[in-house]
Amino acid sequence: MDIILGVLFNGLSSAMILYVIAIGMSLTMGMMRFVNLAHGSFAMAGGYGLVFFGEQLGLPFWLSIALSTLLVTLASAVLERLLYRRLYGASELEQVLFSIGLIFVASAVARYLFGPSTQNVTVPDALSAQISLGSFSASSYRSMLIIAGFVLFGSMTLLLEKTSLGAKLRAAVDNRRMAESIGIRSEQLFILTFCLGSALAAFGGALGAEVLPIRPSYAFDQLNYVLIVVAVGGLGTLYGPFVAALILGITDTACKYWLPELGAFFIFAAMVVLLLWRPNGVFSRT
Amino acid sequence: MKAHTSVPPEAAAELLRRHRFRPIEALPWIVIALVYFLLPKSLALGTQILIMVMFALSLDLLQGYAGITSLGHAVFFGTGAYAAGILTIHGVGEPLVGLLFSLVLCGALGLLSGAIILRTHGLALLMLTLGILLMGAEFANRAAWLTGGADGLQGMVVGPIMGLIEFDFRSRVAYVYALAVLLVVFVLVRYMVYSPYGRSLFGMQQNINRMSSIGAPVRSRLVVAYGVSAAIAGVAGAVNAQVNAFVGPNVLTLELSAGVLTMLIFGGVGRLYGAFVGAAFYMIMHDYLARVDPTYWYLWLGVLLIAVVMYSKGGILGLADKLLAWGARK
Amino acid sequence: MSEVVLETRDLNRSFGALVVTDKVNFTLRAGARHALIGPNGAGKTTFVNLLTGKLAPSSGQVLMFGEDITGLSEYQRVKKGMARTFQINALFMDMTVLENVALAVSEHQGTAWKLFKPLGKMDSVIEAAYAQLCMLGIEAYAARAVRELSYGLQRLVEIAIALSLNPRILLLDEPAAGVPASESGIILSALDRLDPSIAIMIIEHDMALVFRFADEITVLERGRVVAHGTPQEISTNEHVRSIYFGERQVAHG
Repeated sequence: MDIILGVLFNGLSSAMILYVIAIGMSLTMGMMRFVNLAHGSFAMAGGYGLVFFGEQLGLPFWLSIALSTLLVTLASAVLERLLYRRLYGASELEQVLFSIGLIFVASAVARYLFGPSTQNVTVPDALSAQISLGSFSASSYRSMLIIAGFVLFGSMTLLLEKTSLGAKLRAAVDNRRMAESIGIRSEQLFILTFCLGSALAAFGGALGAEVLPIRPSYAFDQLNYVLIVVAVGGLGTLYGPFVAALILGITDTACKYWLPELGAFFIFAAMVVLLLWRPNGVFSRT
Repeated sequence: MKAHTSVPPEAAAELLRRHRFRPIEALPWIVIALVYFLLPKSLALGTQILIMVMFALSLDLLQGYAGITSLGHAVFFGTGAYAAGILTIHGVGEPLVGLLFSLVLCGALGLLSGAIILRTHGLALLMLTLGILLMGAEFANRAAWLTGGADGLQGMVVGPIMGLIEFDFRSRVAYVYALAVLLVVFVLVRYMVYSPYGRSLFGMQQNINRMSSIGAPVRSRLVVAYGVSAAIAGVAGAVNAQVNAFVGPNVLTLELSAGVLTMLIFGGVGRLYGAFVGAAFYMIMHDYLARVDPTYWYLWLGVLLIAVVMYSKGGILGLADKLLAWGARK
Repeated sequence: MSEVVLETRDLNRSFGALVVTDKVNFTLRAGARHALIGPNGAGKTTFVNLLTGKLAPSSGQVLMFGEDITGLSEYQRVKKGMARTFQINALFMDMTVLENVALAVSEHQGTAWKLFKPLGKMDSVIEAAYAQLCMLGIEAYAARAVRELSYGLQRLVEIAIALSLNPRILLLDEPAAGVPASESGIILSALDRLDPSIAIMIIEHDMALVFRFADEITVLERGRVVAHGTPQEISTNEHVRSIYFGERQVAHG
């Protein structure tokens, strides 16, 4: 029983971090129809930002995360203006190769600035403790991740369903031309969505630094899983990425524990099957 | 020009002539032959380039002609490599037999997976191509009893070609072998792209609605393209395994798939010789920069990719076209 | 009465709660010049898509030459003798005019599957394609890329492609749409010269064209047939006048 709880718990915390990173990608891909494989690089930047502010400058944990997120968000705004904007109408191949190019550049820069090895991140004492729930002891760090994930999901739901910005976002994802014809300015919305997505990625990368190791190959390491969550969850839907992340995180942890010979094979096979069944994501309407 | 048709020449000139062999097309082959004689120390790299040209040609059929973007094409290269390699371990060392085996196997896998995944399009299709690659890679990593796992296939004994010609250590035989296979593959692909079938593939890329409205069975044509492309990629993989006498899990990576896509965009997508130019450019750059500094290989690759996508979508051949047009106007 | 070449029986199509085609019974006879009209959003193009097989019905049947083709895919129906043009040009923009038609011809002649014979060597295909261009008077543009042509000429290429399939049934979706007034004459004369034995259904908003071209009119409103008859009957039909012509004057009475 403890083992099952342990697997669930670890799976859940992995899932939440995946969700935090993937939701931004799902939003931007749904909104701008842009295949941005470099999304993981923004998460990586968030992690490295935490290392810079927290380890190198010695600032407190949460402050470092906040500063890192802010910095990456600003950088992403600049990138959107300078580069991404020019490629919104481009072919799939061009977008894919552009974003792969970006991953390469980001990875090389990270390696130059921080070296090739995995970065160490010191979490505050409160998060290093183990909480015991009866006979089962849980890492408080992972508990924090789970809480953060749910809080974020709640916030996203509120944002998308209750605010006018959220309504505009949903309209533009659904049918951009129609949205523009009723006065929604897509240019502004794009940059806003892009920054929101990058902020979420950076936040996720920093928060999850203990679980998803911060190193130059980060974007490629996580790319597969993030893409799976986005594709299976469906672009721009609310519940899709959350549920997909849950399924993926828990199943992957369970498989790695109980069926290590299979490894990630099951996850990839599951993705193929799910995509064939529901090409637009498991929660899409079509 | 022969007047074998009642259609006036100026109306159909391009259509009637374009499939004919043009003198300038001999250039890449002359260069390839010159390398053999003038750069005997670079034949190992040269052989790898020829293999990559083959691989890039197979992908161009999908990307440049049928208009299908695949992130997972390395799965056919890798399967072809492992198939040929495993065959030698079980006693069949003759390379041409290995080629044929990989051709048929990968062609069949291509037809099968194409039939399944080509019902989808857009992001779903892209992810499915990646998913199949990831499944293959994971399988190769885990099934150590068959593939040698993470260490790769050990104990490959590649026999003499047709029982007569042994591979030598200076890659001379390997180079000519790869060249011969490439030549056959290239001629076939060249005929294909000018055939009605090949033009219908391009038609699908231009306007898929129109294609089905003129009575073309679009899906089955695409599946055939996928199968042929997979077969050629498998042959390239087999040659790779045979000339190196080794297969490792690096033939089944996203990095390889992305690499061959990069080669295409560097050279020029949808133009037969784009594969030649792009693969040569990429591999030579990689060889040079990786020796100077492996970190900076990625930096420059990334910068170059971004630059090409933003400013020169037609790749090197596209640039050459523009230069020629500019020169002609002067 | 000539033979019925295409008909629908109780054809229905809905998207969730939205009914776009509502129990449509439609008949097209050999040699017909049948116009389908109706306000925007009436479901005319959807209906054509149901006829050609691009869209599957929710219920009901489509019959061609008396045979139930409801389960047949689009390309299968084309092979049986149905061709269409699109409301917005669907052409191979970077290919020449000649090749655009040649691709259709090679599909029709059954040689399109050939993998290794160059298209440039298929004389019968090229000659038939060129002949088709001559019939529409656009042979001078044969070697030009479609992208370079004016919209009106592109519209003619669209028609040429459909005709090169030697169809017995031709569905034209707003052939004059988007064509500037200076060029609409060439579309009209092309339509006039169409083979009288082909059964033609035409969707149009241009009432002058409709009344000049059609000898039978079906009116669609919100997916349902609300009127059917000769041009004379339709132009005097009260309901049609109210829903379609509205307060504006009728172009031809």
